[in-house]
Parts: sequence; C-alpha cells; structure tokens
Amino acid sequence: MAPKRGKKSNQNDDENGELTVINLHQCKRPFKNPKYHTPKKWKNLKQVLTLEKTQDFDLDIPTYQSIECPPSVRPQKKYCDITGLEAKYTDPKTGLRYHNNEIYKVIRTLGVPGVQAYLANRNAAVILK
Amino acid sequence: MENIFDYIFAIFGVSTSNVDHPIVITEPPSNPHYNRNLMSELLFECYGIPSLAYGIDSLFSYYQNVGGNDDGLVVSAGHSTTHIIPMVQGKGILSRSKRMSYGGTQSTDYMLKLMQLKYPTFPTKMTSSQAQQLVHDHVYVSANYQQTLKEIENRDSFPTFDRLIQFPFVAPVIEEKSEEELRLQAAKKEEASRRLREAAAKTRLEKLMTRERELEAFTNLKSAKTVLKKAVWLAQLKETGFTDEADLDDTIKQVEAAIQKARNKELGIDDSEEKEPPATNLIDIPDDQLDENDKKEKRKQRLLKASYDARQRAKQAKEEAKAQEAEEARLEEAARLRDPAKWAAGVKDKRHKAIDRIKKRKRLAAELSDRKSRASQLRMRSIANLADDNGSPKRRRKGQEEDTFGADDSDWMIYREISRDDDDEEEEEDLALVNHYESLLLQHDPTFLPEHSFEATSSPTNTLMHQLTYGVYPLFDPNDAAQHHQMHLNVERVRVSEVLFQPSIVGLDQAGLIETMDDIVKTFDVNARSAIQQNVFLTGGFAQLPGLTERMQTNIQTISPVGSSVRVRLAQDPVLDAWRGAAKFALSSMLAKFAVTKAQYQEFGGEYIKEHGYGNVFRP
Repeated sequence: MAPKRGKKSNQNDDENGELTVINLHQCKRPFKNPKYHTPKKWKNLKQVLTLEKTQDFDLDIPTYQSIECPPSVRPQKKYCDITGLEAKYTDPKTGLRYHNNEIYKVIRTLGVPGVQAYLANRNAAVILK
Repeated sequence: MENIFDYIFAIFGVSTSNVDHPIVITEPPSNPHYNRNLMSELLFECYGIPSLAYGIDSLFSYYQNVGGNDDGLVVSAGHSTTHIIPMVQGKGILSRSKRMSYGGTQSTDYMLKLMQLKYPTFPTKMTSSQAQQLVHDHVYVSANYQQTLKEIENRDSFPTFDRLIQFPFVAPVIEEKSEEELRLQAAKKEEASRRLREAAAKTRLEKLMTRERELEAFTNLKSAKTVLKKAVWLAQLKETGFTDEADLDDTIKQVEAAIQKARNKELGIDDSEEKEPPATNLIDIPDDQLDENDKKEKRKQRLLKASYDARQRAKQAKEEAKAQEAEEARLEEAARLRDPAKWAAGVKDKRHKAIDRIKKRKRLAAELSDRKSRASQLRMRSIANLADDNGSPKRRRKGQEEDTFGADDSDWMIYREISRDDDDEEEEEDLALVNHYESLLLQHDPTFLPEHSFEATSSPTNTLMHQLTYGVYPLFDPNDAAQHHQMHLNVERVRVSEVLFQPSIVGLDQAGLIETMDDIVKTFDVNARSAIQQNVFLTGGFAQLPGLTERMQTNIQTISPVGSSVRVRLAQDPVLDAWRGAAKFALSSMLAKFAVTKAQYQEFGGEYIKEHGYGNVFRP
C-alpha cells in the first residue's frame, strides 16, 4: 500500500520549498523492534566475494564477479599523459606517453614524484609494498 | 542503512510498532547473497515489514519509459558502475549482463586528479565537490574523439572548447597614490638631485682652488732655485717631499694638466687625446754615449714612442674596420637590389646558422650538467689526463721523454673546453647577429613576419602547454591576481567522458561501452540481434552527459550490420525514473505476485527472492 497521502508534504517538495529536518535522536521510533540488535561486524567486499566463491552454483547463473567486463581485445589508443592529446611516442626512461617534443622537454624536467603522479593517473605507477 | 530507514519512516510519521507497508527496494545486478541477507534481515526483523520485493533500478526505469514485451538493451550509467543488461521479451537476461567499473564517482575523482596535475602550483586546493560540479557543468561526450582532440590542439578552434573557471580569490590591496602625492614625490626627487649636483660642483671648485694653490707653491719653489743657494734649495725640495728637480718638474706638469682638464670640463670643451708625437731624439743614439740621466730619458722616450705608435696603429685599424663595414653594407644593399629572393635566402641561411649555434650551445650546457652524458664523461677524461703526473710508461722512448704539452698554442684550448663557465659573450654575439639579420629581413622580406622571429618562437607563451593551461585570450599576466586563480578546462571536458568508451585511459583493464555491447549482442541469435540493437535504452545519472545519445547512435551503427537501424533512447528523467518504475511496479498486480512475505523469509532465508523480469536471478 502506498504511503499515506497526507505525509507527502513533508518531503522535499519543490512547490513547498521546505525541507523538514528532524533530529533522529530526539524523535521517537516506535516502528523499530526493540529486541533487534544490528550486527556490529560487517564484511568488506573482498570477504563477501570470497564467501560467494565458496558457494557453487550452476555455471549459467551470474555472480558479482562473472558480470564484470572482460578486458578489451581491441588495440589500445594511447593518449598523452600530460596533455590528453593523442600520444604517438613513449618515453623509454619514465614510461610516460607524450604528444610532441615540447611535451617531452616538460617530461624531462619532471622529478620522480611528478612522473609517478602522472603514471598513477593511468594506473601504471610503481607501487612499493 | 539503518539510519536512512529510520529517517524515512520517521519523516513518514509511521507510528505503529511495525512498518505495515510492503517495501519495493532496488539492488545492484548480481547482488551477493550476504548483502541481500543483511538487507532482508534489517527490514523484516527490525522494522517488521509484511513483504519485500527486490528489483534492479535500471530495469525499473526501462519499465517506466518503455515497458512492453520488446527486446532491447539497457545501459545504466550509474554513480559507481555502468551496467549493460539485455532484455528479451521485456525481461532482463542477467546472465548476459556486464558491468563496467566507471561511473559518476570515478569521473569526479579523475577530474580532480587531472586538474591537480595540470595546476600543481594552484593557490587553493580543489575539493571533490568542486570537481563534481565541474563534471556536471562542463563535461560532455564528443561525437568523434580524435577529431575533437585535433580541434583543441589547433590554436584557432581552441577558444570554442576552452572553458575558464574562476576560483574565488582575495584581490591584493594596492595603495594608489593620488595625483598630489605623485607630484610631491617627483618634486622631492628633483630637489635632491639638484642639491647633489650643487654639492658636486662645489667640491670640484674647491679641488680646483687647492690645485691652483699647489701649482703656485711649486712654481715658487722652482723659481726659488735661482734665488737660493743650491744646497738650501735641495733641502727645501726634500722637505716638501720631492726627490729631485725632475720630480718637481713632473709634478708641476701633472698639476697643470689636471687644472687644464678641470677648466675645460667646466667650460664644456671636449678634450680629446690629441697628443703630439713625443720627442725621439735620444732613441737613435747608442747607449754607451749617454750618461745616467740621458739613459733614463732614452728609456722613457722609447716607451712613450712605442705607446704612441700603438695608439696610432689602433686608430688606423678602427678606421679601416669602419671602412670595411661600410663597404660590406654597400655590397649587401647592391646584392639585395639585384636579386631580392636570393639575398633574402642568404640572410635566412645565415640566421639559421646563428640560431643553430645558439641551440647547440644550450644543448651542450644541458648535457654537461648531466653527470652521465657522453659530453660530461669526455670532459672528466680530459681533466684526468691533464692531472695525470706519470703518464703512460709504455709510450716513453729515448728522446721523447719530455712532455711537449704547451709547445703548440692550440694545446691550451683544452682548458677552455673543460671549463664550465658560461660562454655568455658568444651567446650575446650570436643573439646580436640573429637580431641584425631579422631586422634586415623584416625590412625587406615581406614573407618574414615578427612572429617568425627567434624571440617569438622561443618564448614560453607560444607553447602548447601554455595554450592548454592558460588559454589563448586574454594573455597571461603574471601580476594579475585573478588570473592566478583561474583554471582552463579544455581537454578534460571530453576526456573524462571518453573513459566510458575507452577505459584504458584510466588504466582500467576493461572493454569499452561499445565493445561490451557488441559482445553481449553477439551472444544472441543472429535473428534476435537486430531487434535488440533497435531498442537501446540509456538511463542513470551519469547518462545525462550531453552528447552521449548521439555518440552511442553513431558508434553502434558502426558495429551493426549495414542497413540496420539503430535507435538509442534516453530516459525522460534519468535520475528518478527508477523510482517511478518501482512505484508503477508496486501499484500493479506484480507486487503481490513477486514480493517475499515474512513467512517465506523465515522459511527460506534472507537470500530468497522471486524472479521477475525486472530483478535479479535467484540462486539457490
């Protein structure tokens, strides 16, 4: 059954222009079951996924992992890490892709943290663990 | 989540001990069991709802906008993900759906990172919500990404893409002096300079007076020679500080010359170095015929003569050089008038050579500063060789034991090469040459414009980086505080949205939107494919990007067979249509059919759902 008509005016209504704000600590919540206690521990995504893996299903049933997009088979178009324009060249020393020799000069003046920052944008930075 | 539900029910004013309403709630495709379990548990146990139905938000949106029993493809560009779900007979086929990990949140993060890297020295820190605002206001999907990039790079079409974002800033207070104050300041300066000039004139005058007095004293002394006896006079001389008469004569001459010069300066007469040739009468007489004093005189005369000759020669050389220059200029003019094209080419060639020399010097300087470069290593080797005391014993042969370094003048050039001093003088010379050639070319060659000059092409405002960071107009003024707080959005406008089509831009190892759609469609029967492609439905908050529908239309056309029609539709309200679809679902008979009641929940567990066309598949 749809929520009661009369209460619609309490919502963020454009015509009314009012936003009712209530303090959750002050108002009564009779609808809550007092005997229910929320679980204190949650599982993060990794744990949920490992849990999923342990349950086996039929192969044609989709799981959270299975509907993930597969890697691309088409050749990647490369873009300059500094400017975003098309990158025809890659710097062998740093691995950055660049658009023309002017950008290359800029790359040479970057220090190691700058280079790693640009690479991190492309998920290609060196991660030391 | 519990807080959110509390808020919702409190706003609704639910006053019963249970929430006596069936709930329809959306979940992501292929929601893990654990998550659904938690949600069902919360709703059933804590709030005591009677029945619960789950659905997928994008499919609800489809239901609201399209409905029906057609085949189609739903693309949901959401907040944190993008899903692509095929529909057959109005029901979602979850097993063939795909999910891309790029949505509104990731686009905001990417925009933030891009701007932080583009403006590393920006005065204020950009926040995530500001980045989100930028994405909402300025990002769009280009119809042809490569084409758009080329147009952005082109300086002429650049302004149509560039957006200037002004951040709030505090203008520095410059104390503007009024006209009055400026005049007063100028008057004060003039006063001070006048006073200085007067003081200088006074000191000069005083010096002149002292000199004249000295001259008088010395001439008196000299004339006293005839009056006094020689011994007394010599004693007086020694007292005043002279060694002998010649010394006194010299001093008198010097003082006279100084006075003359000072007088000339005051009167403004220009005193040039026109000295008459010195006396040379003693130089020719051989040494043994002269006595002590004469020998000294002879030496002095020789020196003077040598210096006088050198000066004459220098003057001659200068005049000759001037004449030669004039001659060359005349020849150039003649050559120019005779054959302007060839002359211009010749001058350009010379200019290129000078510019090459400048660039080469710069490159060499850069190489030498790098320790590992070849130039640097060669230099170290030269230094080591020079400092080597022993040398190579193998090469020593009889008679060749001596080190012949330095006998040849060019040997010393090695010291020039290893010194890392700046060769500023040569650079200045070359620059002067370039300027000279350029002025000639500007005057006489119509095709050579000021923007081709060396200065213009090497200035930093002409570079691509400058264009992308600071825009083309208005020109960047380092003193303008407002401009320091400005950001230019050009490539980022299309780059952030392009990630949907090319996730490799952010390093995501996933296929793009079109490729994934292609893969999904190909899993179907050949006959079914066309029906699906004709009915593509876009929904979700991130699908509000301008230009997305057109881009999808053209791209899907490229992957579908020739002649087939492609139709891409955007939801009427991409953000809220999911709710409307769910409301429609709830008001229909489907709710009673597909909702899970409390009893069923207690029997089957929290993961239990009933499959309907707009929700997930149930996995037992």
